[in-house]
Amino acid sequence: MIVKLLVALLATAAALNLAAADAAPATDTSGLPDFRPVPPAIRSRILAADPKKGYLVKELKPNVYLITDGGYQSLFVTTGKGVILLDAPPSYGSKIVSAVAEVTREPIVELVYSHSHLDHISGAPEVLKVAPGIKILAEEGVAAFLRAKNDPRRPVPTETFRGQYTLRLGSALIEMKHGHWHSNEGDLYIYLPARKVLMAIDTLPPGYAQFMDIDLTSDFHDYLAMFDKVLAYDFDVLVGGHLGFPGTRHDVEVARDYTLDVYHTIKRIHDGTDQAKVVTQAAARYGWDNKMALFRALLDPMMDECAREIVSRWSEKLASVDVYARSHCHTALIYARWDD
Amino acid sequence: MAAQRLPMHARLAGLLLCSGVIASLAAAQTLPDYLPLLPAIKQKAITADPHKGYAVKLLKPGIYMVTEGAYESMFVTTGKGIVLFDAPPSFAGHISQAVAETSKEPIVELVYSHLHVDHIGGAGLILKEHPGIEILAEEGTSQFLREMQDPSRPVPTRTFKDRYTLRVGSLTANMTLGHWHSPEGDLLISIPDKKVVMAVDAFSAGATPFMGLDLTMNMHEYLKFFDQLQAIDFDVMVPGHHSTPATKEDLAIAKSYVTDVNRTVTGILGQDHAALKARALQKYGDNAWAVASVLIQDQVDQCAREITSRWSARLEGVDIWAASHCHTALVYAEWDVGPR
Repeated sequence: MIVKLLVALLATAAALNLAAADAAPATDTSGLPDFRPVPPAIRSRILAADPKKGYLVKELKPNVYLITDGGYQSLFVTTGKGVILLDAPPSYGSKIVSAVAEVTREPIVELVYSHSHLDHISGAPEVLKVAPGIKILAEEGVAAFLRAKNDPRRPVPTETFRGQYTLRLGSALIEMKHGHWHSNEGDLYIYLPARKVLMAIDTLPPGYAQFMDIDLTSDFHDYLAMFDKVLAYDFDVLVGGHLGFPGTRHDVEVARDYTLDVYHTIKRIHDGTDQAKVVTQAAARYGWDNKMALFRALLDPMMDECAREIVSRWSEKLASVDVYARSHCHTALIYARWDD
Repeated sequence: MAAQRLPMHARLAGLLLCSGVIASLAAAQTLPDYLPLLPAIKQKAITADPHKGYAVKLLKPGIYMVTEGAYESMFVTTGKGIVLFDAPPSFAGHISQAVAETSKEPIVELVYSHLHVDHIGGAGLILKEHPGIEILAEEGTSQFLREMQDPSRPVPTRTFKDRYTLRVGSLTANMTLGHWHSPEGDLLISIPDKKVVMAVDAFSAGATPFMGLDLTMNMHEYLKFFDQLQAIDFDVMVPGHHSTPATKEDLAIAKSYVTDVNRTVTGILGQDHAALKARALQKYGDNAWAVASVLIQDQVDQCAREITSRWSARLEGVDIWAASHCHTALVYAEWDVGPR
């Protein structure tokens, strides 16, 4: 339910392009915290979905089309031998078939899962209703997870590969490579070399700071390594899977610099903290044996300080920094303290 | 250095927190209130000798636990030398002395439970004191440590993949790879003839798991861990934290707590959040991350209130970490499992 809700509201918010908080009335009785509005330079890049249809189809490159509802993004590719769908987000799952039909008469023949998360692939049954018997392709880690889940919302892949795979159909050549920046079961770099389009879902939302917990990464070590891997591809359009528009190489560089700043900031604060002193002060209040309380008294101020710095340096360059900066500092702190 | 002028407890805490003593945070932080520790649980804690800074507890014939009050490691006499499991930096300087108190055998092998600094960052010191000992770890952990080149966590001399039976003298220890905690993998270590197991960073006896459900990077595997451990015939377990060995009863309580967190957050996700959503949309407009964040915060807060009310009298740390536990469970329930 809540996934649908969130999805719907993300979509509605972006699609309607409502007047944001800067236009809020002086007497705010919502009881909700204040956040900075989306900077105008970023808001102007948002691709508005048709409010009646609830989605937008945009030709990114010849034969390569983006579908977005403002909250989610997926791709499809025409090949002369049928259409390949790359992801099927449930937020517009029932509209994918008509979105494809707007631009081509080719039938849908194949669906690729970028990773196992519901919010990007559980529109698959809606597609299968209209196009039964199509191939579903996924990396083996994702396929193993979906076989174990046996979840009707995420049909088990009919074809799998391990590590990497080149999908050739008609005029299309799509290179896929396994990564680990986001989900436990693995993620895919999906690259169309002839079109210089790279799809790498839940790496970064161009123009915005990442979603909570650095886009929910389950492996910050590999997340940090992801930026160089992305930039090593010869691409000029990046599809990250979220929010209102695809990204450029510059967006990737900005996200990399933001993430490295979060990491270096929390590491500097952590390593520079006189931990014995902070803990001794806290022990006067909680006692030496309440170690969990001592830990919070130690870690909370580090994250607060990190968030203040990050918000002050980045709020003009990226949208929504103040919403999740502390969460990003939290993710980086766990890495800096326990793994690094 | 500075730590030596502090009282014993402060030195201990400084060590347990692996302090890098350089600068100090703004001292005048107002600290929140937390519930006092539960007397029944406090009673069970093993207190370290304040002069020595550690305690050695005989778990079973030939099997000992070492603790300084916050961390735990284990060593086993075999007739052919001591096998040490983990070397937390907080008391690594005392390990040789702790071993010598109980046995004349030399340390011949060190096993890494997982790669985190706080459990094995004393290994460099152990190796210096006992040059030439074997260091054993699973391949995923070894690979990460080869990449890190961290002198405090020397690269293992022997590795295995997935599972291994270690036989040294009278010791037979079965090791199985798990993924309940760190991305690179964790070891479930079982000594079947003594009914002793060691499984680090899953839960603690008498207390809730640490922040983020013991910082799990894989909630799907974390949830399975409790039944996997239950299936092993043991009566003493070394959980790696606090100072109390765990029993099957502690395992059952931990499972029940984690199950409750998971169910509670899933129930809350299924409720109607339309009113808050409408208020958030009104206030934030196209700032989609802001809208999502207040919804998530509200759900986490509600879950934390419920969990705190049900568990505060049974486990320590509930009011300190319940919101963090709810957050981790929410991410899993929403993105990996989804609405049912």
